[in-house]
Amino acid sequence: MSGSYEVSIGITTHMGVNATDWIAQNSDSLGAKSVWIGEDIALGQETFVLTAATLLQSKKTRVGTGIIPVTVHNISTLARVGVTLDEIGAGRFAFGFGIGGIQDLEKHGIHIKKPVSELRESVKILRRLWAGETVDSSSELFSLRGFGLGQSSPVNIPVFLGVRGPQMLKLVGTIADGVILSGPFDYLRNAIKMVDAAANQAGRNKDDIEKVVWVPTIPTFKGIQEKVARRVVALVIADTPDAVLDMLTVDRNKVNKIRETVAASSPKEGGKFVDDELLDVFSISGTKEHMVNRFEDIAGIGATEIVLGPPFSGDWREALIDIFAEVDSRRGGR
Amino acid sequence: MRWGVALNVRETITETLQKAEHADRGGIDQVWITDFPALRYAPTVAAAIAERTKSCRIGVGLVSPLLYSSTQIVQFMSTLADSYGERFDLLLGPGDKLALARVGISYSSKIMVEKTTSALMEIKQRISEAGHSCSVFLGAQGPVMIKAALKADGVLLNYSDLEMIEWALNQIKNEIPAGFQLGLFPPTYVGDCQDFLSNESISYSAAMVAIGLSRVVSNSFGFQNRLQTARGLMKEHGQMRMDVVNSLGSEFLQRFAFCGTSEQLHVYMKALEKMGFTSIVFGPPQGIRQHGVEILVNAKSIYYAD
Repeated sequence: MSGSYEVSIGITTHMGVNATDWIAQNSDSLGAKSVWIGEDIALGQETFVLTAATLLQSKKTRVGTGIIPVTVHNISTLARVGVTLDEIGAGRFAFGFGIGGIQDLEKHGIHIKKPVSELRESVKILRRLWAGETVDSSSELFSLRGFGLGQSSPVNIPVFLGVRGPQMLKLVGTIADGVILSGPFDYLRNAIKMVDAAANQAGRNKDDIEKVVWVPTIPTFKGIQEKVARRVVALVIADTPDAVLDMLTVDRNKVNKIRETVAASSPKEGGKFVDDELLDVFSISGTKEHMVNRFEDIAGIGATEIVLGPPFSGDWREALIDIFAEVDSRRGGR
Repeated sequence: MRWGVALNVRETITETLQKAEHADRGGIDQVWITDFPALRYAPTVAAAIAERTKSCRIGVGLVSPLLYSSTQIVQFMSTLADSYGERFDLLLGPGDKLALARVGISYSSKIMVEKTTSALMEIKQRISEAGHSCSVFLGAQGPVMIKAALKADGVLLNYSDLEMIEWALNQIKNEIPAGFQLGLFPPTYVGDCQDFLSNESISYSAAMVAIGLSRVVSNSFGFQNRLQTARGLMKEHGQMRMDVVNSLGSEFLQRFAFCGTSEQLHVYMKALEKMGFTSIVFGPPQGIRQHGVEILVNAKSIYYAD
């Protein structure tokens, strides 16, 4: 049984301007709830300019960062960016952030001792700054002394956290406006339960927390090469923490082999070890009908929004149009 | 001579966009989008301005390489150019030492200069390798920065007073490469300047420049004693206040800003052109004022009609 859900589009900074512009310009007419923008650290387009450009080229769609690693930006910059994008988007901006992907952080030599505490503090500090407070605070990630934004009125920016592990999911239930989840179906079910339980415990209504699910969506019905799909899944597996894998029944030997190959060589090489079972567990692929069936399954466990893509390969523009149309047709057209 | 105006100091995005459109339509050659400690993140404001304007160049900065990595700076300049065309320039500088300390970035002045000049080389090279025609300027005041700016595409000198400008130019006399863009970035107020001190918008801006004056410059002009008292007061308050301004005095402060009528601006611009300047950025408070951009548009049209 499926719950009510929205469909959105996910893009990353590593994509080219032509592709991201097309998505920004067509997001309204496609009926996307949001465009979420993931930052590949130090790669491709600059996240905040890309976010601004996406807001400027759309009129109705919510545009969110999904996610920004707080570990690579000064927190004063994040606070200023939040205010600026909120103003550019006239309230359509959502700020998604997290600690960052394991592979990405390791590659850049970033090690955080207490990621949960750091993320909690970052959210608190950003909200205080957006509320107009002058802040004195320091942590592993930042140090502010008498810093305030000095804006004329407080701003209220929705905060989404891109997280994985149980402690982080509890944090979402306690303080966030939404969560951006990624992982196999069994994991998603557990994760949403954890967020809801933490919300209840904190005296919040669980329905006030948006659950955005972003897993690789691979529409093989429009010419996307399956090796691309396998490469993406290899990367996803390499980036999946043990805490998430512990919730699954997948063959850990196969998973470990892929992780080792990605670390030692490349996602392309790792992709050679991704079989059909793993492809299905870690991605949503196949025909548009099958994909939308999977969306409905995910909505049935409490997801409020499903994000399409990347990888954008093959005739992905047509694929996006077809998938949105399929969702629309099942709702009797809107 | 390229005329520019600094925006995004504390205006809302809507106000900044209106001013940028007015500047664009009125023939102002370039709008510069200031960054930290301004509230709004300059590269995103630059994107919004690019959407709404047609021909003016858009400068991003002053941007501090101490606050952003070289990679991020190259990324935002490249993304702007890829998305909106080759209309963008970059101004680098160490930034406001006190403001940076508030966000956890604290270095000696010497290290700040070293880090900025080393970032300049990397950023300039990487922007060029990416195939963008973005000019990289260095904001400079002290001799070390002025000399370092020769490795950039241009300099924006943080001076106003003609005698001091001449002193700054003497630091690099005979070394200026062909095609180098010589520019100035003075606090500006075009209008009635009879009572300079009580005009807080310009007197505060001038006082900020004076207080931040490099040691070498203040020694060269014998300003140390006068600045010592003001710096002490500034440290005590942690921000600019009227008593700091008063301690510096009107006559002294007017050396750190252009404040005068359109006619006086005309004379000033002629003098700058004669000295070899190719661009000027009219700094705050001119762009913050309600009709500041209109005043500049009129002044420019009169200047070139002459």
